[in-house]
Amino acid sequence: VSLIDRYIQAVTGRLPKNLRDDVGRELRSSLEEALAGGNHPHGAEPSDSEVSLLLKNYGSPDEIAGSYLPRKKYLIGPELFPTFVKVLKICLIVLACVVGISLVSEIWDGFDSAVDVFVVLSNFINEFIDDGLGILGLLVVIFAINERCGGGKSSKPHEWDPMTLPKLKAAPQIDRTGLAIEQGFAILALVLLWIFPEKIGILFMSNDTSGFITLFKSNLGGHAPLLSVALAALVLRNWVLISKKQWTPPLRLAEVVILLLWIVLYYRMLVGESFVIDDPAFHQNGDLSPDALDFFSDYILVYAWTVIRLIIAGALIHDAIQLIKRLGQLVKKGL
Amino acid sequence: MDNESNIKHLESMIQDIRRGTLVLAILSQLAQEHYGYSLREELARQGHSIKEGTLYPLLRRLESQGLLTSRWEIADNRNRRYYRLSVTGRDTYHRLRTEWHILARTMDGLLSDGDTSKSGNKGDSS
Repeated sequence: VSLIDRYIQAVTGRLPKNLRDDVGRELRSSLEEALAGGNHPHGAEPSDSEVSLLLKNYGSPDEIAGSYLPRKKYLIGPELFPTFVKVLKICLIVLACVVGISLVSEIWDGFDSAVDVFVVLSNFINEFIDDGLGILGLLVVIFAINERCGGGKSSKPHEWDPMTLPKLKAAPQIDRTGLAIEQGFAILALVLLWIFPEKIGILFMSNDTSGFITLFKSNLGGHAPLLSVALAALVLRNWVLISKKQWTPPLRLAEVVILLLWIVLYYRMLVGESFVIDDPAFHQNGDLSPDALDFFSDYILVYAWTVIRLIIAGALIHDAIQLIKRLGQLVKKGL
Repeated sequence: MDNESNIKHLESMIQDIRRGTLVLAILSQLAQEHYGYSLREELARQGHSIKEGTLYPLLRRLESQGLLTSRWEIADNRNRRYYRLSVTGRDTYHRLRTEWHILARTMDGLLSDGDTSKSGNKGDSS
């Protein structure tokens, strides 16, 4: 009965992940029992109005979800939390608009050099994060006070209409577009890596000078072969996944192997020597002034390696978490 | 205070009394195994109605406190979760039951005293 499914979705959506399956199962069981105990003939499907009446008496999703949660552990309880999220989203959208307008006006005034672009963009991000955190803190305080003052606790069960429950979300399926895009990027990376390695670099432009500098050492400092294998494995996995349209046990196993491959690669990159070029003068293609080349040597290339290592570290942590999850799923589902 | 607000207060007080007896009422029925719906029906049959939205979370809480054990079983083509008292639950239930009897006796005494003094006062005034 779709109304029951929608109700269970609404209740469990308000609960922590570790409770959802179990509470959902119990809710379904009790609702089906209650419907079977009704007055309609045995085996006949209950009408929507019967189900609606049952759910109405059972309690609104907020109430039921709230009753499964230990209330005092929450700074903002389940009754107020949806409103909190809604208000936060509105505030952040308004903030993004305000900061966005100031960014547009900066762009409108023009830049003196490429470095100015970075400065303005980083100012924009800083401003957004600073103000966003301020808003978040303020809202948390306001809602927490409201929660403590009883704003989240209704003295009597409020009237609600089960017919207004949100529609069922479709079961998660393979995101074929996402996989195809990932595959496209992996193929592009392979082509760049082996055919046009000199095209991976930084374009530098200012009023008096411009040029392109290749960023990485040849053969990516020895990491190119393993990176190619990892990329090829990714392409192959996506191709099989797109054609099969679902995860199969061999694919899950292959996923673990691919993740391991990437983790090994990231680890080797992190502990190995820098594969960013040392001297931009030998890798330039254009007309860069000596000052610009110095700027590259002293700042851009140094920071480039730091940023690349940070990205690699992030990717390593992400893949390690994914690997643990995948292994957990394999153990739980027995492949 | 108008009549409607009096009734509301009275209802709230009755709910408080009933709420205080919920755990004991549930434990009393779970010496034998019950699934949620059958437990609710049994309690209702004996005059103690509980809303589903109150019963199921309470059963989970009692289970997490180690007073109940549960297991899933498919019966009559339905998935049912059966609950029963654990060893700790049985012990807790017996203690609570003793406390309840003491409290009930005390309350009976207090209430009958109240009734007697009320009738006594009536006699004095006449």
